[in-house]
Amino acid sequence: MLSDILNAAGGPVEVAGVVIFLFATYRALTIGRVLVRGVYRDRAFWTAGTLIALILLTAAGSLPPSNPLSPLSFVLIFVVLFAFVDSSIRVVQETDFFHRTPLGWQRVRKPFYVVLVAFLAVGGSLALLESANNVLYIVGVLLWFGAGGTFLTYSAAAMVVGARRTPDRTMRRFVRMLGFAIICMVLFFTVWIPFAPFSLTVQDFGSLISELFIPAAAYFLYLAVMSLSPVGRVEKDVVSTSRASGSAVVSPDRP
Amino acid sequence: MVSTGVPSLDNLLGTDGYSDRSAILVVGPQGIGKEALGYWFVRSGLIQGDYCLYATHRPVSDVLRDMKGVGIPGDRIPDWIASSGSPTRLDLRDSTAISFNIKDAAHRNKGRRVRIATDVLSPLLVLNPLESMYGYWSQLLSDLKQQDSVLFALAEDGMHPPNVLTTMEQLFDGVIEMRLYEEGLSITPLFRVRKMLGLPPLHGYFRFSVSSTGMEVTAHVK
Repeated sequence: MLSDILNAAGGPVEVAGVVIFLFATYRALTIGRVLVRGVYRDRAFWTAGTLIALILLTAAGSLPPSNPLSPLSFVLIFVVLFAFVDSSIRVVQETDFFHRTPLGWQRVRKPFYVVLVAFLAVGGSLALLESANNVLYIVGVLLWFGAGGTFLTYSAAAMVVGARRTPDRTMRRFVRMLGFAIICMVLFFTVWIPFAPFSLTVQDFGSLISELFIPAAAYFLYLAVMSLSPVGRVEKDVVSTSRASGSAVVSPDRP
Repeated sequence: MVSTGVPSLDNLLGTDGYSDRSAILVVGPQGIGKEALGYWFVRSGLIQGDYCLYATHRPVSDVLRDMKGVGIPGDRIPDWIASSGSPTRLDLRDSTAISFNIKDAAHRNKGRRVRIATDVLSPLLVLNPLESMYGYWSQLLSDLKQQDSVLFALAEDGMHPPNVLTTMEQLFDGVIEMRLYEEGLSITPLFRVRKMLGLPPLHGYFRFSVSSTGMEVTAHVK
């Protein structure tokens, strides 16, 4: 009985997470559309791309591992995450008045892209095609997660180093919110583990607790998106006046 | 009057541009398009035969690429004081040299109208105490106004505590704020003219768009 209730509660939690993800994606796209400088626009669009990839990854979680879409979603998330961090580092470099390159990023970014895509392609193919062969499977998975993990860790370190150099407070907030989102994602993947040895009800409770971190991660990503550029609210009862024509445009809030 | 370089903005201000011998400050977050307003201001001066100087902490190549991106052809370019790619190098650690070089360039063109656009206000405010920067900019603007010149400065609003920009705004004759605004589900880029020399308070929001074909400003209808 309790187990059924816990299972039923998991659904709305996941739906809430996906709704927040979708709204954050929409916000990132609308902010990106109106930014003028390419480097800032790219970051907004890659943020949207990352959110879309996370939604796909969540959806692919219900697929069996033998389905080609399942490993493909992992390849996609690695590449999109890398491009997203790369675009953020370029913004960090732009907002640093001395335009310093964090951890030699300008030199390594292009080789990293090539090597990352190659390793993911080879590792993914081995893991998918040779799942019957244990050794090749392990080599494939190691290539896959090893390359992805190494490059993402290096790029995340470069982003944090750069963010510490920039005086831009919105950029720092962006990185901080991103950090919270990543922590929530890690908790989502790990919190259920201590509950695993216990009874089914306790396991379901653990699953529910871990699922609560999905909307939390989505919310922090939403806050990160809203830090792409400060967004104000139009004051009510304001008349927009053109001096030349003397015409006035009155907001609808005014009778 | 000195044209803003954006006909629809000149029209909205109703004065055909900024006042003579004035200093204009544009405040806004990164990437919103403040620079575009500066580029069109410089471009307009180059067409009219004014002496134009662009003082920037960025490399010249970066600024030229940006200019191209907002539809400004590269047939006419201003004089530069930049971090690289210019005969006179700009070093943010040497604020005295920056001020000297700007004033020197203006002085050498005394017989002409001078337009100066710069993005060094925010870096200098971050790297130096507010008190010294207040005096520094006060002196620089006062010296430039001795001759026929207009200074156009950009400030990043995410980089300073609010009191810093409020203090600096007092030194400028015109202050324009550019920002993204949330209206229901949409995000709209708008600007406000917070003050402008020679104009009564200009209330309300104005919508702007920047594209490769130019910049357009219209009264904002909600």
